[in-house]
Amino acid sequence: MSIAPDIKRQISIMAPAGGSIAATLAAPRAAPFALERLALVDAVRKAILADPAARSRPEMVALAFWARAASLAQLAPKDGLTRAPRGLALHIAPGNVDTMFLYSALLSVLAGNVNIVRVSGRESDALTLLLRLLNEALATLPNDVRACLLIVRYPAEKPINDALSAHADVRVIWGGDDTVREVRASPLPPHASELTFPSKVSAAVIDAAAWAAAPDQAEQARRFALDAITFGQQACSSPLALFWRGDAARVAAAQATFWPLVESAIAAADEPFAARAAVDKLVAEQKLAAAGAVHHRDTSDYRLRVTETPDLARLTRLASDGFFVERRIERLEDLAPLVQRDWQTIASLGVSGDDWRAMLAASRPHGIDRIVPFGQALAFGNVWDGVNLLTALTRIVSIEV
Amino acid sequence: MSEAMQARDAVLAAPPFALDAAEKNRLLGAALAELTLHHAANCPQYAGILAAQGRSAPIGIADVPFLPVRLFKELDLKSIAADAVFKTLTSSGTTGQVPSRIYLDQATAQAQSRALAAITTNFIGKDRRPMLIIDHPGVVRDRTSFSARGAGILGMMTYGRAHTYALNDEDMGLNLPAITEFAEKHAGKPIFAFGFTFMVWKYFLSALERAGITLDFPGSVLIHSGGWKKLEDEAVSNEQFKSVALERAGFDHVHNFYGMVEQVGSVFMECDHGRLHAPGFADVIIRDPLDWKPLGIGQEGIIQVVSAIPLSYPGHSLLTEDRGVLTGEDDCPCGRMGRTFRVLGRIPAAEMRGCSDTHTAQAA
Repeated sequence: MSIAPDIKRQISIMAPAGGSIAATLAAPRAAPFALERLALVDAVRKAILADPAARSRPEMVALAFWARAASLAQLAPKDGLTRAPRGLALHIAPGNVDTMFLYSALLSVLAGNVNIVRVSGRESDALTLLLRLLNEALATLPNDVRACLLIVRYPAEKPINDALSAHADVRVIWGGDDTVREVRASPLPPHASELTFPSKVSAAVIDAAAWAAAPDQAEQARRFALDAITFGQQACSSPLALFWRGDAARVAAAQATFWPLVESAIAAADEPFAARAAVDKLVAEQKLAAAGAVHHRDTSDYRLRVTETPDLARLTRLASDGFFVERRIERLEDLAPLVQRDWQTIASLGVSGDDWRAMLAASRPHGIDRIVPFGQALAFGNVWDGVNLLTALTRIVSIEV
Repeated sequence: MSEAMQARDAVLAAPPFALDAAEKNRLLGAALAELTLHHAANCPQYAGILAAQGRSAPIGIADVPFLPVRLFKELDLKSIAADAVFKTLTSSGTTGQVPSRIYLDQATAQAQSRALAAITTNFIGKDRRPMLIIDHPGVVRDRTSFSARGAGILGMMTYGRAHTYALNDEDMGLNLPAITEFAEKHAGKPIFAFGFTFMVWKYFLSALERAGITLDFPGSVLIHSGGWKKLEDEAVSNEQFKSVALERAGFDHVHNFYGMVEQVGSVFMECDHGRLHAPGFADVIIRDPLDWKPLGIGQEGIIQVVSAIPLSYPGHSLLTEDRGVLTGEDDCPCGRMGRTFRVLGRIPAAEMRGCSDTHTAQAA
């Protein structure tokens, strides 16, 4: 089976140089964590570290850090089961680059799969940089190894998705709900499986008493700010809302010290300021005020805006680049009825893992995929959106003889 | 309307370009304060927005709280009972976008047409001239659905007579028989032409150029509006637009105006010196998006427009999605009082950086 010429014509090969669909479809699979696959990931890491432009981007540095051999070795399952690659993995990357999709693509490389990654047609400096680095990294590897990671670009059209999906043993779709719906219209072979990472929203929780007692308030506020604004607050994992646990007096006192520190941290981060985002924040806060009694916190400017609302019914992405809603909860259990299916990350400060476990056991909310300390919201985990990626990207061969 | 609005009545009654800065700030400021109270009392959502801002009553023009225009796409905002709605205007927004919905009662619609009359006659004179409408007749045929374009044309038709449509319904091609007949009938007389900027350029001036036709309407006035976005994409400047309008059709007074469906009647007309003028009952404030503080002459920012007209919906103070710069106040060589400004284009779209989306959106 191959790809029809009229489909192939519409697919541009972005990396590796000289790569082709045919070569990738014919490329050998590897054992999970085979040395040559570790070498590929290491080549990507080296290319990032050798590049001054990449080194100046925190998300690239984080990717390089994750790709250290020592860190990867920890990923290898130690359960003694025999794992095999699934085969061909088709990855649909989100339209706006963040590096997240590359983690799952590289994990799939480590799993021994052969990979086709469709990147966005939208030009951006970040994507250009990423493609250049991947090309550099792949160029250092033997032909048959580099063919296991093919980066392509093609118009978002069903016939092309159909053709590639027909070859896939596993399909990984990043992006919003619309992307997932659109790509899902292309059938997979009966045996193939699929991982989807649809639209998600995230929040933060702070225990007011713990905040008051925290010895490192400025540092915690800085971590919160970076979790929020690193991707302009548009990453699924960036907090959009903040829930304060505690009584009214303690919470009011904590808010009064927390937000000025966040404001300083945002100012220090010195991200470019967009008028469009400021208008979005104005629209968002007025929409909230039109719907019910709310309070807009005083901030020195529109880099940061916070609206306190007593009845936050549904967490939605109203604005970005430093817009938060906040409300008080008496106990952690009060959060449970608010949690929706699309809640992903909780950045948590001063609430213990045991408290969370107790809440999850008692209330069993529909959503919440991960609970992390401040500063870790954007850190990639091999368990993502509730799925162990390495497990999902391999299959287990049970040997009972 | 039960409340007395003396300041609003006074500022609407004043000649459109007569108030100097001090008098205007006093009179228009008071009118806007009346309207702020009126809308807070009659539009619960607006009252909620004001309450959350926790601000005291406005005292000057720049103190009046403002709503971003997009709010009218997201919320249904009106200060009248549903049965008092006289007509509903919708913005012509791009495909797929939710249009703004603006609810007018009779009083607001009346104030709007009076205001428009005061401004328009200030530029074209009180005598009704033969009018060439640079659009196709279909745009106003269905009078129950007012598109912004149709409403704009209907509004302007009052100021002309012997209305003639320059374009064909079918293909927006030049209706040459109609244009020729119009030209012969009114040869040598100053006429009044009106159309939307992009329509005038693409289907009229460019079509005349392509066909090698030159019309001669000496002393005529062309008024056009609708935004430069599409023409900027084609790299057409205001200067080029004016010179082609003069060469091809003999329009020696070309007035672009800035306005929006969300604030009916506030029309900011460009004078012969190329400046957009705020009339006495409306004003423009340029704000810094960082903290929304007002900016001075020459400083680029986001355009806010205020108007004493909107009674039926809380649209008397709006933050637009356009960038602009003040060019002066009470000092235009044309002699009109009030602030003048330039529009610099739309606020650029934000960069998408998250995980949520989109494979699909890039097709757009």
